[in-house]
Amino acid sequence: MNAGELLRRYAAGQREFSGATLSSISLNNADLQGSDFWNANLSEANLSYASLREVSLREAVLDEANLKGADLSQADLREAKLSCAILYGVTFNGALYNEITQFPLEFDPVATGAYFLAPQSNLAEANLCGRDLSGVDLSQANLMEADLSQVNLFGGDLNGAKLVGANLTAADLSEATLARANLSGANLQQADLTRTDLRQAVLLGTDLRTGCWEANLQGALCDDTTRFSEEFDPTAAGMCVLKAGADLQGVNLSGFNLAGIDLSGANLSGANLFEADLWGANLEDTDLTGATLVKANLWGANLTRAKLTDADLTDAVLSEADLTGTGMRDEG
Amino acid sequence: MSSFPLRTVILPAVLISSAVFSTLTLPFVLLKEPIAIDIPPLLSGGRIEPIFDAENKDVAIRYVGVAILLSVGAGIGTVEFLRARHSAQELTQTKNQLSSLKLSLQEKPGSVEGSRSLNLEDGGTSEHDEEDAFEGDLDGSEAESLTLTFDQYVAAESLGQSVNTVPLVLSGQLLESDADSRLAEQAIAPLCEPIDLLSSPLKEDQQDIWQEPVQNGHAADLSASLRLDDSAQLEETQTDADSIRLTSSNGISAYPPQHNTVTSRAPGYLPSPGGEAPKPVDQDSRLPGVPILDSREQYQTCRVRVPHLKSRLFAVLVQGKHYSLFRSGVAQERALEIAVKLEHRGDEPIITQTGKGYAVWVWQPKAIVDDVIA
Repeated sequence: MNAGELLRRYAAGQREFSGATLSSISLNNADLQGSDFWNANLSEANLSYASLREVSLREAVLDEANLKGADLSQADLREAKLSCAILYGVTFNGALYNEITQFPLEFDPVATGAYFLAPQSNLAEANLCGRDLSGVDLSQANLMEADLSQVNLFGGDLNGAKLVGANLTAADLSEATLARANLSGANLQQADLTRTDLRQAVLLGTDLRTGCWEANLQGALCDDTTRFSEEFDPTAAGMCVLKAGADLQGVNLSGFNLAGIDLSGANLSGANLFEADLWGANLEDTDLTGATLVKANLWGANLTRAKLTDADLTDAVLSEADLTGTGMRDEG
Repeated sequence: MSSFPLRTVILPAVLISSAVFSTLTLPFVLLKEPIAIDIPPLLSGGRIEPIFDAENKDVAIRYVGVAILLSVGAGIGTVEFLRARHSAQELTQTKNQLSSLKLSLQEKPGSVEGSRSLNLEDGGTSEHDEEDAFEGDLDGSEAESLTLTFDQYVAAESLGQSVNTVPLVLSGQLLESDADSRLAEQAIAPLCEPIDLLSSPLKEDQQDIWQEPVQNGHAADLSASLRLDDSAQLEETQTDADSIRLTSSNGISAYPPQHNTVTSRAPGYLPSPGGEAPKPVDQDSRLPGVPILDSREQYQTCRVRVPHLKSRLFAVLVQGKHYSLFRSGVAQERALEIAVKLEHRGDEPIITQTGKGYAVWVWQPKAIVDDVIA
């Protein structure tokens, strides 16, 4: 296929060019927005100053292609080969790439605004609205305040991800795992939670009003700020409702981020709070008898009159904590 | 030509060409009386006797030129002959596949209409008669129509559709033999436009045959009516063998010549037997199509790891094999199209129905289950 033919087809409405052999094609200044070049061969192609916004170049070969000044905003570069490509002045804002994508040596795609889809990635405040992220592994990733509205995260792996304040409106989270993810303050309205794994997820202040009947919520944390539909009973779904005066005897909160939480008067006897972040938490009059607080962060927490009998506070951070009435030696 | 191994063409052509040239130049050796073939050994320092006399050189050069032309002509003739024979073999294979399909359809209860829609003869001709019809003089357009309809049939089979949704149109005339089939076609007709292979798009660019169904990012509806209006026009298209080999000399091969062309453009559901394919795909082996699992009970989901990746993959477990997610949320036709392309390049895909469309998965032979929660 030559350039004229491709452009004629594009003008006629065709967007599907997957697998096409387009090596050495000259498409400088061409407008090919939204095209699908999955698995296409564009090696040595001249794409300088071309508009390739929202183009899918997954598994495409762009070795030694000239992309000088091209606009690849929102493009999908997963598994693409861009070795030795000329990328001077390329716009990569919101482009996606992964560990298989090959860029020229010393090229930093993150610096150009591209998003790295991999475990533990930092995608805070990223705009991924409407993107296809089905099946991606973003476990432990930082997606705080990210715009994930209408995103396709079918089967996505968001294990332990930080999704605080994320916008997941109308997102497809079916079959996705968000176990132990922190979704505090996240908006999940209209989200598809069919067979979504939300075990032990932190759902404090999360908006789940449109239903989470088919999700696995065992051990997920919610509080009075978590918004459910009227008929939904979080306790019946196996959730832990964190609130002042709640009975949370023996609950496992190890490693959870519970900074600033109000659990005054709650029964946390025998609870596992190993490495839990209770920074600034209100634990006034809380029953922590026999609780495990090893390596817990209690910096600035209010532990006034808390029952700490047999509690294990080994290596716990107690700086600035108020231990009045606890009977501990460093009281006051 | 890529689908027709070069060695089976070039070698005989070169041999025949050489034989013709040798034969034509034999008189030089046999009829030249005054030639002194007595060539002294080079090391003796003697002068090599000329083979031809000076006065015969002009004639000899012309004669040799004619001999070269004739031998080249013989070589080209051989190539064309072998191509024609190859195409005839393809025709026979296609007929065999079609007849085997009809046999299997007749064995299936409830698929009688489907087998009828594949009949070339009006009414209920016997299978033997249908075979005879194939043995008859299939012209280029008929053969093309048959092959394309065969593609559609296989695609429809893969999608689990009844074959009566794939109408056979030959020379612009519907060949369904019963009213039900026509009703089925009418129900589907609004979904798509008939693709006229020989109207303007083909004349402008014959490759559009392969591109048309995937325009706008959507596969053409599988029930699209492929119409051949004028067989004479088809013959015109055959003259331009460089743009696309719609047909070989007898007009049965419906596959593009280059394998990379197939993987990039072919929306058809039968792969090219091109030699460059990483996994040779035989038409018969493709007949069952890509499996489509429409029930959640047919598979289990899990997370797997593969040796070359740090990321975990979302996968399904089907009959002891792990398939990782490749695409999701696509329409059935698009899923099938992707799956066929994956199969072309040697992957083993399956398709599952999901809450929002269909998902395509690829077999990961080295997958290790890792469902651990971080």
